[in-house]
Amino acid sequence: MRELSEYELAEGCQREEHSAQEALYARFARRMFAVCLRYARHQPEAEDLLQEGFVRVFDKLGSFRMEGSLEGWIRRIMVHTCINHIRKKSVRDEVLGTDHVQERSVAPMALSNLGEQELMALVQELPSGYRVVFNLYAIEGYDHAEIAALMGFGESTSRSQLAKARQQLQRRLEELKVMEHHEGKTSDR
Amino acid sequence: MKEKHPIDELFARGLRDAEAAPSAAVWEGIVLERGWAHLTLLQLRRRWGWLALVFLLGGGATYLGISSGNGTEVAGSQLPEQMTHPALMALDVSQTAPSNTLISASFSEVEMGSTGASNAITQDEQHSSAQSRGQRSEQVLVVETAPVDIGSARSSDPLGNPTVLQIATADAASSIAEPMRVAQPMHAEQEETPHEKFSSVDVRPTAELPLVPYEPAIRFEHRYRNNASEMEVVRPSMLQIRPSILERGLLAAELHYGNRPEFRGPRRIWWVAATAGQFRETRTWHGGDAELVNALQGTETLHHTFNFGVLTGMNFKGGFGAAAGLEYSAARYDFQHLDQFSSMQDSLVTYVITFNSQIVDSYVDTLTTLTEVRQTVAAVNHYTSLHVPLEGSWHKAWRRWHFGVRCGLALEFNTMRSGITLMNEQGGTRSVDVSSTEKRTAALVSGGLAADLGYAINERLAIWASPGYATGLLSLSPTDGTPYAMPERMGIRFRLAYTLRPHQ
Repeated sequence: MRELSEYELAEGCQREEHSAQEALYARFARRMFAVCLRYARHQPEAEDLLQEGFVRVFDKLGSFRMEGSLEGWIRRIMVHTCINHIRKKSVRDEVLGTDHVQERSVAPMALSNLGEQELMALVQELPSGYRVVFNLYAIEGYDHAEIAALMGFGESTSRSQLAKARQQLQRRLEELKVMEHHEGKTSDR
Repeated sequence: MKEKHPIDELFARGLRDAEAAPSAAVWEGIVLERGWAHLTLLQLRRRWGWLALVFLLGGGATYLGISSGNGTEVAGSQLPEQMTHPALMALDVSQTAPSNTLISASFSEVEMGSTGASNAITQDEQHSSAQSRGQRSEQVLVVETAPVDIGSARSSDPLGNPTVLQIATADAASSIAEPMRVAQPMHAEQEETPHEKFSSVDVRPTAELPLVPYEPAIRFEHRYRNNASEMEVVRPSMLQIRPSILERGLLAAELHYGNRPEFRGPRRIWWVAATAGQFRETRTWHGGDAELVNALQGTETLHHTFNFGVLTGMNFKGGFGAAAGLEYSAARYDFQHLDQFSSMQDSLVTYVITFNSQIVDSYVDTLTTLTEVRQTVAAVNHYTSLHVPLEGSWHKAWRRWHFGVRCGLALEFNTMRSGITLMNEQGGTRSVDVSSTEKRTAALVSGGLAADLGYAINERLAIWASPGYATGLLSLSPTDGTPYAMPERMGIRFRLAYTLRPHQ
């Protein structure tokens, strides 16, 4: 059976065909979930974001002009959904004082063996402000002007947040290196 | 140029195309969230969003235009229950019923001032006493007058200012400890009225102070306390009541309390409105020829009609209203039909009998050829409709919002403008161009029911949305068996209404 193209899927979704929507979700859910995980602090929050993002995707597919990559279009919606969520959450957390809750930390292991999950965990350890800017700049490829416009702060804030995010990641990676070195010595004995 | 940082590259390489499996609950959540209510709202927003936007922009622009011309209009005051009281209009203070008493108080205070009475204010004491009783509202009007030496009745306020005469509500005054009360009904009949709380005046002498020169002045303070813990004080500069206005207010108060005319809201309010709407329409064919009716019914598809027009109407007390108007609607839909009929063709055939090149006999015969025709005909049909609606409504207002229902009848004249229709042919039906048909207009009576949701942009303009249902009730076409279509519509109509000057 022939696999439907992106545009055929999009057209089916525009007609509100359940099978097309399910197929589109099945095709992109895993990749988009990884996007959400990078912005969220933990898995349940990422799942909420994924759900909210896909609802918006299906709602807005009527405005997709069948030009360019559907995956890129969906990814932008997901990123915007995550950013909106974080902006709302930051206001909420200012009131509740829960911004610096650390949900998980990466297990020490060799840098050479750092996989997706470990890198993801390192990103998730970052405070939300650093995390968003680092994600947008380093992974999504936005520049500081775009990030500033998206987040509603100045370019200088974006630069400083990125620098601090890098510092923190560097520090954590060095800690992991030390652990690697230490573990290597232990195993030599 | 973006800087390349090794940390960025490490994470970008590792995470850009990362994948992770979400739980199955996410998809279930999406399906649940995009339920029928969500989809209906989405459809409404997609289809009618632009129309609502046009109305809102138009309404906003009109509102800005009107409000820049007359900034003191009170929104929503076209409602009878919200009409500004005549006595208050004289003072240009927009308050609701309890503020009427302000006028009454000022009237008696000036009388007292003119006779040289003086007293002192212990406002905090009064406030706290009223507060202790949980009194919900309190109004105090203070008139400062030039000090007049009336002997021991000379007094001052706690700040040492010259004489101040205070009149408070009787509720508040009754709780003040040991006031020297001067019972002074302002009018004989007032004791029997709801305004009797102003019928007593507390004159509270305090320690004597030396008489100092003082410029005569009138100072008003109006206090309104929403609850026991907060009190807002409107300062004189905010009220800006000039003595001439005060005089008019006093006259109005005298008229109000002396002659006691009954306040009446407008009995009816006229309005005019521009309407626009969109409906999903299906049509059901009726007529004498069942085969043709079935064929015509087979060509019908669900389609949309767009209409616009004008309405005028009258709202009465109690929320009831009536309206009439003229609306024009247009629609187009795809027509497709499989023509199946027998085509009979007669032809003349001449037979000649010859013998040795001589014509012996000849005759002409008619040859009938019967051909079975099967062809698919497709076209886009256009038709328009002229409606004369007559509607009744009932509304309930809540602040600027209005809710209600409307129902009515409409006389409709539906005309096929272009396209294809069907006619009987031997052995079936065939498509013909509507321009070749004689009857292209049908008259009918339809009935409709709609919900009304309105928002008063200001006291004149209101925007309404009326989702509703309408159906054909009665055909007014001649009953000669000619097929006719009865429409059935469901959709929404927007109305931008302008309220005319109310009739008293």
